[in-house]
Amino acid sequence: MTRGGVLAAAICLVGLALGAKMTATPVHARHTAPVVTDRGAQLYRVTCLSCHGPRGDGHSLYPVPGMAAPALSHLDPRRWTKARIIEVVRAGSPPMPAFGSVLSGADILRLARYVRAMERH
Amino acid sequence: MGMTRREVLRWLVAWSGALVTASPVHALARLRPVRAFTPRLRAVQITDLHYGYRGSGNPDPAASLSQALYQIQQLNPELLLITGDLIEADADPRVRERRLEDIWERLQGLRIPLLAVPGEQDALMDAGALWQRVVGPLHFHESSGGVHVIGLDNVSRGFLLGRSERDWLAQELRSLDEGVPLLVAAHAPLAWYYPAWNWYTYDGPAASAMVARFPHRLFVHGHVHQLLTDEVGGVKGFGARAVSFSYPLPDSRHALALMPIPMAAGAVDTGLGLRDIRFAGTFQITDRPLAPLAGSVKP
Repeated sequence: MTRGGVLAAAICLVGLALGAKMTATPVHARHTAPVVTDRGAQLYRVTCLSCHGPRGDGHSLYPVPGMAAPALSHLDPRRWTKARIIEVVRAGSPPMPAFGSVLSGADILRLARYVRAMERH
Repeated sequence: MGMTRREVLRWLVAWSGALVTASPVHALARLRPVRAFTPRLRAVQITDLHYGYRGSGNPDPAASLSQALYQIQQLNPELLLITGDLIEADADPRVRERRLEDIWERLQGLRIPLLAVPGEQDALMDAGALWQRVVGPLHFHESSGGVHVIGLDNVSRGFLLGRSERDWLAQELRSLDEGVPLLVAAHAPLAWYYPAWNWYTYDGPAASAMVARFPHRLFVHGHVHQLLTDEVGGVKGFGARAVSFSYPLPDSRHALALMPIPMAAGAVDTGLGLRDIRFAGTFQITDRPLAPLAGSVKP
């Protein structure tokens, strides 16, 4: 093989290796979805988000005619104490569901903490 | 030889038993070959009628409803199973009451046995009070043609069953031989298909675990307004087409508000339909699109 041929072969090999590397890890695949580790946030996503909205501002993803879920991000903290939030989550107030029969007391507390944290944002 | 009263009674009981055993009727009952009862069922499932709906999802929902009722009459099932959202919700309880009374009357006019579970539009606003007044119990266990039909309420207190309904379900299922055919119906899926649109039942997996021991089982639901299959705990759920309007599939990358797919006036492929459910040894479901109304027959 001539020197030029060797060089061309080497360039091809490097190009193939780079190509293979790029194919193995495409740019869009390098981003991983954020993992929600906070239990309160996880519970909010499942039990509250559909009606109170992803940001807790009352912009429902599941609109039901005649039903408007309050904006949790704008609750008056003097009226909506943690104890009151816990009680509403537990016992419900139609159409607000009563989660007391499916969530543990500890989970309701975590959810209430998460909702209180939303108020400040 | 004298007998005490107790001895006389014992003698009478012993001889009456012998006489009954020896009687020809009893002998016939024992000797006649037993013809095994084979459960059979021909049912139709409709869902999400949203009676009173106005919007871009269906420019003429009254015509769609008439089509559905006409098709049901043609199929002439032994049971009409309705999986919720009979009405479109409204803030005014009088409007909800009028709608539910009207649609229930129209369905009763078909003169087909009806079983119905509530949807959130029917029951969430007042925790099922109106439903119980107009339609009946929120959850039930009935038998039709030897098929046990369990209706679940996973909407009236939120998208969940709750402890008391789970306990009730466990008790009902405990009393059944696992060989019996079991048709379970609810409005929302038991699986956590997409909680952001309330397409889930919080404690649905617990209910699935109870149902899973029955080899002849079928779980059908509404709420999703399209043909969907979901699964939790080995129990498949079959979401059905609506009678009113159709929904898109959720896209988990973008949290968008759920909106009906707009339907053009006079559309042929409406995305609406009903479901034929049969049991003859095994369950079979056939999903049928709403066909154009033939003639002018209106129930």
